[in-house]
Amino acid sequence: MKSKRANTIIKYLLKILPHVSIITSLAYVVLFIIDRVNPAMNFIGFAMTKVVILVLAICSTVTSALIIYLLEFKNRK
Amino acid sequence: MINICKNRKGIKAIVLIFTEIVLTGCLLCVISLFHHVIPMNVTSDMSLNNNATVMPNIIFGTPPANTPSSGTSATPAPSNGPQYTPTPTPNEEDSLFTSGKIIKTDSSYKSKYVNITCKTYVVENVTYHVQDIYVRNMSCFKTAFANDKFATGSNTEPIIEISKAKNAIVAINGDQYAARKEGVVIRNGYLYRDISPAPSEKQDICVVYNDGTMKIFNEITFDSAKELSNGAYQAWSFGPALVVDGVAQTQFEHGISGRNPRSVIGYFSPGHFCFVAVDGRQDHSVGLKLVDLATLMRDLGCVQAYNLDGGNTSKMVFNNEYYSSPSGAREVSDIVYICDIFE
Repeated sequence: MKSKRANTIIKYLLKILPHVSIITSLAYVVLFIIDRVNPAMNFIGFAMTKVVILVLAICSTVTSALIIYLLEFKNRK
Repeated sequence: MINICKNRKGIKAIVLIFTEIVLTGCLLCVISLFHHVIPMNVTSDMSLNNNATVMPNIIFGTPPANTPSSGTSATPAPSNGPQYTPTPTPNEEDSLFTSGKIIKTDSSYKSKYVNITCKTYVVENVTYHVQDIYVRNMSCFKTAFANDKFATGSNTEPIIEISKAKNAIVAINGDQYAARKEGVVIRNGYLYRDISPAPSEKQDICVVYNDGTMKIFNEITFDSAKELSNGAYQAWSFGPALVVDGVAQTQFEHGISGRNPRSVIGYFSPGHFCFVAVDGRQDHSVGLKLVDLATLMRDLGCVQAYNLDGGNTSKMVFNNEYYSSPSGAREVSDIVYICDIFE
């Protein structure tokens, strides 16, 4: 029962997190380009941009961990 | 059947990509909203001290006959640059200030504490405006924020409105501090911001002291606490420095070094300043390069000169009307202005 619930959560996470990663990555790329064009605006140093990077880092880590888990442990079973 | 499945997958992929792009746009909008639009007020405890309370009068000698000057500098202006004509000198027969009477003309203002002469010069395809300013007391040399509050983001107001609200005789735009989250902001003796930017974004800082002097610093070596104790009264973080200790700067690693509208604050001697606005991006005037602007300021006789925000921000006001011809309708987040003391 517990395993079923865990699987459902993993399934949902693997469905959502890659999208969040893509969105935050694209947003960061855009902010990076704007910052190069107009450094005075300092988009990269802005607090919300740092939150975007943090979300990206968390999503990437969790997605990667889940994929590794599925490939290395689940699939072997 | 296979084709339908393939088409469905293709449509699904397109919808997915479209959704991701839309969501990215939404996220960027939210970030821009917080970065640009929603002002972030700074608590009043950022105002660390007030140097404006004690303002002794500045002792002026006889007004120098050749300041602001032209053609007196050792290095001539570049031959391909515009040739500059001298700015006006106060009439030597009259005293610099009146005994209490206010003398106003279409281009000048003279009172017990303030002497301002405004002139416009046209050289080739460049028009520039010079406001030659003497202030007996630095309480007349002031700055103001849009909507009377220090806030980053979209805290802007038309310069004419701020000028009217403050009873300014003359005014020029400031460093548009609200567009940045970093940089030193000292206004009327109060420290509002002392956040140092990343080393790659270090700028020159201009400081006006309550004894009527002006100095230019590099942000890397600037110590706001030390300068406040030395009597820093106004400080802008924009630049670059155009003239430092009488030497016109020639190297500008700046993305806006081409021909543009310009706003500059110049310093001659204690209590003697000038505001300069260069019209640009218009048929009658194309604007000035930073290097030509530095030469102009040196030729005017400035010992120190500092570039304020230019482009569409560049605006100069005299008697609550535009004295320069702004290239755009951009509102400003701060102004530098001269007012009078009425006893």
